[in-house]
Amino acid sequence: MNKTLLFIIHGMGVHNQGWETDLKTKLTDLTTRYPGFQNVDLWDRVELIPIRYDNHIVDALNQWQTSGGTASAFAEANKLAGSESLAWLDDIANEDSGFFWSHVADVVIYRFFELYRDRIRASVAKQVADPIMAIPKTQRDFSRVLFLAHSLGTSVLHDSLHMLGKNRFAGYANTFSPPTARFRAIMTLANVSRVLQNDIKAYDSIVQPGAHNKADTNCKQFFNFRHELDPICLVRRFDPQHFSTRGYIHRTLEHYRDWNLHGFEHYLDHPRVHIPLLNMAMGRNIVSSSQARTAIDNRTYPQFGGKFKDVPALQQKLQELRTILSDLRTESSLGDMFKVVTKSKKVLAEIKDIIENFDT
Amino acid sequence: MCKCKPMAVVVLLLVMALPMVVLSQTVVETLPRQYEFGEVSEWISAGDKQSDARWRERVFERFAPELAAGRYLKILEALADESRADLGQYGGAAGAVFQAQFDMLVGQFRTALQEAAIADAVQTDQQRSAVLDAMGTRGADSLRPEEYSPDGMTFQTVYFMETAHELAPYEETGDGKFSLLIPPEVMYSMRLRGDAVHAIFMDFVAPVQQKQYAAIITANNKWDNYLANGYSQYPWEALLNGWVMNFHAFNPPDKQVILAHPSLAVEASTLSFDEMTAKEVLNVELLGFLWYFGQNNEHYTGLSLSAVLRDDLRPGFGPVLHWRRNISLGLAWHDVDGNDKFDEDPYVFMSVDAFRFMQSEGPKFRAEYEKARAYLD
Repeated sequence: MNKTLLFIIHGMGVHNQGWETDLKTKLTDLTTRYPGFQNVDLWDRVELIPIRYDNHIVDALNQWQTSGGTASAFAEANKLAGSESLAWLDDIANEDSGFFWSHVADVVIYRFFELYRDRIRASVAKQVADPIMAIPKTQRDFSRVLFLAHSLGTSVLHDSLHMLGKNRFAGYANTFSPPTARFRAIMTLANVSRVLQNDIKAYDSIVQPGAHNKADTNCKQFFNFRHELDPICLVRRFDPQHFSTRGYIHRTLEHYRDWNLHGFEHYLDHPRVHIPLLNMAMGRNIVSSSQARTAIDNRTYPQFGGKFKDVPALQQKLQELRTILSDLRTESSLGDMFKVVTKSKKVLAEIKDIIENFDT
Repeated sequence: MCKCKPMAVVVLLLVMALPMVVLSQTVVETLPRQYEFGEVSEWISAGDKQSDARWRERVFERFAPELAAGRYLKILEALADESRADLGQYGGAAGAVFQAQFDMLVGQFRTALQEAAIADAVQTDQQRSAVLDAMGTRGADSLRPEEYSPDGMTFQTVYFMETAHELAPYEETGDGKFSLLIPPEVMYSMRLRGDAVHAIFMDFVAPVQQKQYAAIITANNKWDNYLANGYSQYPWEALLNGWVMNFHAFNPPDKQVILAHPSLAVEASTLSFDEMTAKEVLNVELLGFLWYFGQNNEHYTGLSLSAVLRDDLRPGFGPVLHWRRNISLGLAWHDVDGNDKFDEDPYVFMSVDAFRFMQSEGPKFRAEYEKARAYLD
């Protein structure tokens, strides 16, 4: 039996070889929440395939640094005119080069440097095609293929899959698009494919869900998840109204577990994200609809947890404080005021304890 | 003769038939796997794989001669006939709908062959491609179930989704049970037949797909030779080349503009061989052009106009020839005597693409260095 191919594609920043290890562990941990996995190992049925593109960006930065640094050092040593003009290239690829070069540069290079953008698209398309083409031809089945993309990776994946499915290779009919190939699902976390769109428009591409009889739709299901306070996907939000209502599912998440609300794992932690992923990966509803309903219930999965677990207690104390203060009126006596101050001091001390215990 | 309206008769018959339909539906606590959206190979038993003639491997065995000859239409027609006989014995609307779709798929394939002027057997990859172009939206997946998620977390199968012939194989009863709207044996047959047709189609497209995969690999090799192994580009050059070159992801550029490109060079006077002294200089290629060639664009050659800067002479100017990877040769005329004329003999210089040089030669030098250090220690 062939396994489900679960491709994962990272967001901004440098992701070294083996970057998927933490996500694999996270997914394994998540399966323990559901009884269907008691005697079932997810990885017996699913092959996790990490896709990387950060290496092309790092190569560019290294190249600019080495070439520019060498030339500027020579010019400076020999006191040649304009020696400082290349100095800015000198430290862009250093590990401590700061947030701009380690994160924002990814977005800038992908969005504005067409050479690197198309190089990345070709690379991602190949990384998708490699494991699929390794399957014997009659068992090759695109409905066994799932994509899970995060942040900048949503844009990169979008563009790459569109090119893969629309290009006419060597004059032949494309066989990486419907009706020959339709992926089971594309899941995007913090989708930025609209804000970064350039020559391929996010709403007009083939990267959208569709029934078998719909041309120019390359997947059966398209899931789009956005955290309510994730700033990355706020601008030009991906919110297609014309996608198939049967195939397109959008959810805004309101859970708080970690300070990095944009994090890949933070998104994955929410049952609304990982339950459909696990079910599709397993090819059946291994988490049933009733189990899924329980899993998203506030009692099972409260809004605040992890590093935010004390927020409800804090909210309760703040409410207590408001109630105490509401006893005071403009005409209240000095004695009443002292009573309220004493009471509120106690609550304030408790609030202080809660805040001090926050795991930062 | 009855004077009642035909529509009323139909409604009456439907009302009478309803209890029978409801009674004939099976309610189960666990959904049989053929109703789930996972592929057939995930749930078919080992025994059925061996013995069921509808299973794809048995289909490939039975039609091996036709497959070898490229007679795909004959295979599809035979499978459609088998399906008609198979589903016909069970009766019911679902089987009939499925069979009608099967026949339409075969009909579409027949038409596609005619449009591609293919009499019988498909012989070449061009013919396969022409048939695929003519297939429209029908193809490998046409007889397989689709899925959708009513709650965004779990999935339900459906046949021929968003068409007038949509078929729901089951429905949830609300108490955790499932009412089977298509009999299990019909569903089983539909799944196996859809799967076999999918496999036949994948066999049909495979040679074309392989060619396309090869094109993807070639494109990646060319990109490597252009960006990773080619003449290095500064950010402004990468931007410029991105704007002016005609390329896309699977058709990498094979030309490169050089613009304001500084690199280190070693320059020597050509005045006298005996007095020749070499000096490190900064070579700034003002404008140039490179051509990439070879099967994967692994070679390049090109020309540029350079300004050579050094601390002991006024700037020199001259052409640079890029004649092999990493190494460039140039001539520069300096105004040595300060008469504002470039009338002295030219200097010759050799420029090294520092990044590429370090990339290719760096590890070797490092190894030599480590060896020497070990020896001295």
